[in-house]
Amino acid sequence: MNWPPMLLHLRIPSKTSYCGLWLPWLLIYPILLALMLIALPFVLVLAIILLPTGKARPLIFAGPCFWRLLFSLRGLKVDIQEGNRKFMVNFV
Amino acid sequence: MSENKKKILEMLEAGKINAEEATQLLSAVEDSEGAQHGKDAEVIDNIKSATLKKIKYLRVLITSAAKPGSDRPEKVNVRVPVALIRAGMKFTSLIPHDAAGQVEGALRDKGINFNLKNIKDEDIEDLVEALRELDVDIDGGEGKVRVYAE
Repeated sequence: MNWPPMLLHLRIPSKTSYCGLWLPWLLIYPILLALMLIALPFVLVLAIILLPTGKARPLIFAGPCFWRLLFSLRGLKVDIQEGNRKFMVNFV
Repeated sequence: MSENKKKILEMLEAGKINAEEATQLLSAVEDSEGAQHGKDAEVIDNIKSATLKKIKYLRVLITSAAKPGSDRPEKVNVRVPVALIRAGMKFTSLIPHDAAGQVEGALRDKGINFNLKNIKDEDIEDLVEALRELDVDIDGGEGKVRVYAE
C-alpha cells in the first residue's frame, strides 16, 4: 500500500514571481472521514431506494474508490513555468 | 537432440530394448523435458520480473520557445503516479450501465472495441507494463515533447 500524501506544496503565481505554500494535506483526512461518516446513513438509505434501478453499487463503492484515489495522489506533480511566472502543485 | 534421446536410440540400435519400449521411453523423456522447460521458463520469468524496475511514474515534459518579451522558455512538467492511473481505472466500474453503453458505442464507431465494464486487474497490470515501453520524444524546432515512464 502507498503512503497517502501528507503535504501539499503549492506555488501560485503572483505579480512579480510566485508565492510558495506548504499545506498540511494530512489534516484533510479526518475532516473527510467525519463528513463521510455523517453522510453514511443517508447514502445507505439512498442505496436501498436505488437498489431496483441498479444504481446502488456505484453509490456504495464510490466512497472506497474515492479514498483509493486520494491515497494514490502521493507523487503527483504539475509544474508549469511561463517566463517568470510559476504554478506548481506537488503532493508529498 | 538431447542426450537422453540419443541413449534411447543407441539402446534400440543395440537391441537392448524393442521399438515399443523405445517409444514409451522417448515420450517419457519428452514429457519430463517439457516440464523442465516450463519450470525453467517460469524461473526465468520470475527472475525477470524481480530484476525489472517497477514503473512508478508517468512523466510528461513539454518545453516551448520563450514568448516575445520573455527570456525564459515555457515549461510544463507533469508527473503522474502509476498508482493514480490504477485507481482511476477502477472508477470505470462505477459508470452506470446505460452511460457505459453509450461510451462503448461511441468508441466502437471510432473503431475501438473497448469493454468498460469488464476491466480486470490483469488488464490494468498489462496496461501498466505496456507503459514501460512508452517513450515519446518529439522535437519540433520550437518546442519539445517527451512522454515516458520511470
